[in-house]
Amino acid sequence: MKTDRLGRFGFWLILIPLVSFSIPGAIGSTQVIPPFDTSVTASSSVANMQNVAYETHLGSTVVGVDEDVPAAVKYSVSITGANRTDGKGAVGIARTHFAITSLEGRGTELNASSERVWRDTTEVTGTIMNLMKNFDYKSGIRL
Amino acid sequence: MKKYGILFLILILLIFSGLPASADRLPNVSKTTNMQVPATTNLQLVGMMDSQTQVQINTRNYNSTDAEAQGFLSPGSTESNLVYKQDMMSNGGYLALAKDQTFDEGNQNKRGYNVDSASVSTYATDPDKGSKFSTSEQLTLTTTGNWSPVNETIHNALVQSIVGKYFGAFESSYDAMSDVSLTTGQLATIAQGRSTGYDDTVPAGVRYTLGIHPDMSTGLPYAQGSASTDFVVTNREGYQNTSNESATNSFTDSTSVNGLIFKFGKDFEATSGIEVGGS
Repeated sequence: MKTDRLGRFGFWLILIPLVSFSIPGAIGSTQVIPPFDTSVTASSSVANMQNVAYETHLGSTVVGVDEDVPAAVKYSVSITGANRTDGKGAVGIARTHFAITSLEGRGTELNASSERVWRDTTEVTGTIMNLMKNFDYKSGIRL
Repeated sequence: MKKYGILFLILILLIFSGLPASADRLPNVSKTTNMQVPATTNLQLVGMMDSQTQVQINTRNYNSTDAEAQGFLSPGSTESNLVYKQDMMSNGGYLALAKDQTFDEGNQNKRGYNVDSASVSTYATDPDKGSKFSTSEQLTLTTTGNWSPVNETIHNALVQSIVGKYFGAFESSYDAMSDVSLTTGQLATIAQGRSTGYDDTVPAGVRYTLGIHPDMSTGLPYAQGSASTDFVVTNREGYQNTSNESATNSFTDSTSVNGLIFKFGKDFEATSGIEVGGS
């Protein structure tokens, strides 16, 4: 079960909803959905891997029935030795990266009322008995 | 067996909460995206690792656009900035790591947190390489706001008459930082921060807990390495609807240890808000 170079698995996702909208005819700023701009990235890759079981799961909601349905990205990675019972880990390099940036207005005003950044990067090299990362992004309108 | 100088540290417990005379008012987010991101990590590794987590939440409640264009917050306006950073790295050896980190940008209640991060790492050096495991963590919250008429802040005529006419302007900063480097042992940290509130009675809050213990599986009764923590709070407050400074508060705590660590613990908690119906 030895391969010198198993290659490089990459799995990435970029979701950029770039929408600005407001509901016309509303009275007061509480009746308005303010503009927003959000970007979500989830990725993982391995290199020079031997004896690996590499598993990823990705689920995303990008189209909703109505505006009550939140946008979502769910991503999980698991890296273990190929034979999970022999106690030998995978050998090689593994990398994961998650990032969210978001900008949001308030009411009909154009100045940004909140800015957020969330970033997580992990890189491991050596005998990987177990590497598991779960990432669960959800964002929607609370009515 | 070589003789080492033994540094014996008994649990230092430090709890700091409730700054007197400080009254942070947290901004609210605009109820749009309600973003939530729970993330977990589980790692068992023989080798090197490098990991960074960074969260930044900036929230602004501006009442009008004219004043802030000139760099001033107008009356009633508030702003908060919450930053969390965690860097971990090892250049070899045996590492087991579990992390549970939740990022919730929504308005929080008195017990909720926008950033909630817990991690436990157990490490043993590779004696041939003399490898180390080092971490650096930082949690910073700054809040600022101009004075605000109470009737725009508390929507209750009963308590309005108790509190007075205005909440003063304020500027606060809360910092919790740690640096740890281990050749053997277990490190556990919890970092929590709250920078947005449902209403003005939800206090700003920062909580940071750090513990270093021996790795029981090695049979050694101690952890080995160095650790330092820094906690800083500064606060300034104005009087009523004037620009007169009426109170300044500051608090600092620095600890560093080095050697064989049998037990080392720090617990830091700071909250600041408007207490309705208090004395």
